[in-house]
Amino acid sequence: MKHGEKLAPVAAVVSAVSCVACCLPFGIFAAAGAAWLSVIVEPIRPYLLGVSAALLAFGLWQLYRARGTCRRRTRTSIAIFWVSFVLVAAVALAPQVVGSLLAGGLPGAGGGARLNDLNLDVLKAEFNRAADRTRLIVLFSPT
Amino acid sequence: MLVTDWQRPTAAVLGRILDSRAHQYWDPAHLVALRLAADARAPQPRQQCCVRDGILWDLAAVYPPGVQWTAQVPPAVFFDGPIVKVKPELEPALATSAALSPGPR
Repeated sequence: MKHGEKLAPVAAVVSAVSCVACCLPFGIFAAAGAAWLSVIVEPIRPYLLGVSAALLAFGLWQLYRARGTCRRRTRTSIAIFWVSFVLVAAVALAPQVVGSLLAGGLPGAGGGARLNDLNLDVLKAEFNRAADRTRLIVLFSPT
Repeated sequence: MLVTDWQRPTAAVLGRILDSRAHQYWDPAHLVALRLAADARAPQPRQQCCVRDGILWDLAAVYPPGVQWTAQVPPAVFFDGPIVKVKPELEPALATSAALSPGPR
């Protein structure tokens, strides 16, 4: 009985927190978080993006379809959902760009590497200047 | 070449190649790819891939010591891609070519 008295308020608090928590867009935050993590942890990117998509779907259901305790749909929760949706879509469609933007914002991200605008005559001159060595030309996409 | 290629590479992208011997160029008109394709001739091997919309990309070309780029780009001893898949062939080609070099590598 004494234990019950002690536990009752705790249970009430847990219940209240649970009720509030189900109305908060934790799933949406998790979706965005998983997507951003997928930029860093490339080998498991497909799985993380899958988790993101599932959580976004859950968030969408929470916002627009759920008929339980979370009927209130605030502007904030809607904004959070759509911002997260855009973030997840950006990571899914252009992971290199997002990764580059993230890393490019860090000091010294380029390690001092320089980019030159192509001039074929300059390239030709440099190619011939190094004629005593092996030369390697590699064609890459910038992303 | 990709839908995401709307801007110059960022510092982070450039930072993937930190070898001081490397020169990186921004070539939005694909001038190098067009020149390499136009000047391709025997004994240069024919690439097995790496053409999108008529433009070469994701490809490596190795030129041994001694050859000069005159009116045409000289034939490469290695010419193929995509880079991630040809690494096992590219590295021996570079090593063989570098062995011919009298100068610093």
